Amino acid sequence: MFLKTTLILLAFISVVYSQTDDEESFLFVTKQTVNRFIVQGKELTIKYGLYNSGPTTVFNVNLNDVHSYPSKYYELLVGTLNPKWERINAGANLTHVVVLKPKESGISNSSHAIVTYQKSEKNAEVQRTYSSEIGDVYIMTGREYDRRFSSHVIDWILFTAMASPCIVFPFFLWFNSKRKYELLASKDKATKKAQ
Amino acid sequence: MFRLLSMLSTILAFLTLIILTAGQNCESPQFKVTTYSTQDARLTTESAAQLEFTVKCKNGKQPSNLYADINGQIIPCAQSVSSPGKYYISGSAATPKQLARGRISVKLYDDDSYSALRKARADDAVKAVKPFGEVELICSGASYGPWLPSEFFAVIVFGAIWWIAYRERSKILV
Repeated sequence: MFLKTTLILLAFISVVYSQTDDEESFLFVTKQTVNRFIVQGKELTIKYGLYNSGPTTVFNVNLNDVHSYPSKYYELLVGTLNPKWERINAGANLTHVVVLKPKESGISNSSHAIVTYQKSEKNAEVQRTYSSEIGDVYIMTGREYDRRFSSHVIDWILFTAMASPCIVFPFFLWFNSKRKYELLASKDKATKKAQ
Repeated sequence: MFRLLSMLSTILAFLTLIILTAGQNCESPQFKVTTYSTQDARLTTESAAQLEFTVKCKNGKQPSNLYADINGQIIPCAQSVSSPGKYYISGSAATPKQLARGRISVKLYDDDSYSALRKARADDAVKAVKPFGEVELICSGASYGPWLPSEFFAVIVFGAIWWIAYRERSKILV
């Protein structure tokens, strides 16, 4: 009987102690694009959000996303794909922005970013976590985007140039005949007045 | 004899501590800044802005940690792993109005000034904390495309031509 109660008590204590989630911090990393469309040759903005849930500071945070955007397919315009922060306080919400330019069109997949951090300054044990991923995206060609969104001024100028013979030629005919008959009409009037 | 020795050692320890901490601080930093803000508002749902700067100190030391004060919020700056000395401050705004055309001044704090800032409670004390430096974020403003679409002008021009022709035609027909 005594053994049973001690065993149950021990089991209880171990369960309570194993639930250390409330004591430790965990870093949530989101990765998303703020683009409505991803266009080849135009800027692609990626936003990484880091959130430290939990009551303690995390140290030596290192975000690595170099493998998702190889330089063969993406050109890095602004920011770095490998930033680090010395410390992120409890409850802090950070963003990091990277701007890329896709070199090729088609369907592309970008995977998770790998984030490593230490839960305490002294303990060198590194915790690894992964960000959310964007998944498969369709990169449209520059022509597709222009067809919908560019200002089309050149297209309209070309259209006017092509439509102008249809307008100018009849106008020219009408104008000539109008002038001829107006001259005749004014001559008639002058002769009638004279009479 | 013993007492003298112990006193000397404490004084020496104190002096080395002062020298060490004095050497670690960055003196009169110089910043080289490049800024970026979203230019095409039709392509993105949110406007994003980023400040990238390199710090050069007179005594060659790099600050270990920098914090930036953006619109009242203090966030730590990201550092580049591949090129030390480069710091990044980034943010995004849901409405393009928050990152409207203009300049936003960003104050920078290093470890010492940041801890002084955290200790300060009153507004005056907060303002009195001397920042490590100050950089400017230059926003060029995001464009939504041309004010009037080219189709508008095309309609106006061809409509005017049609109207003139109709007027002349009705003169003849009547």
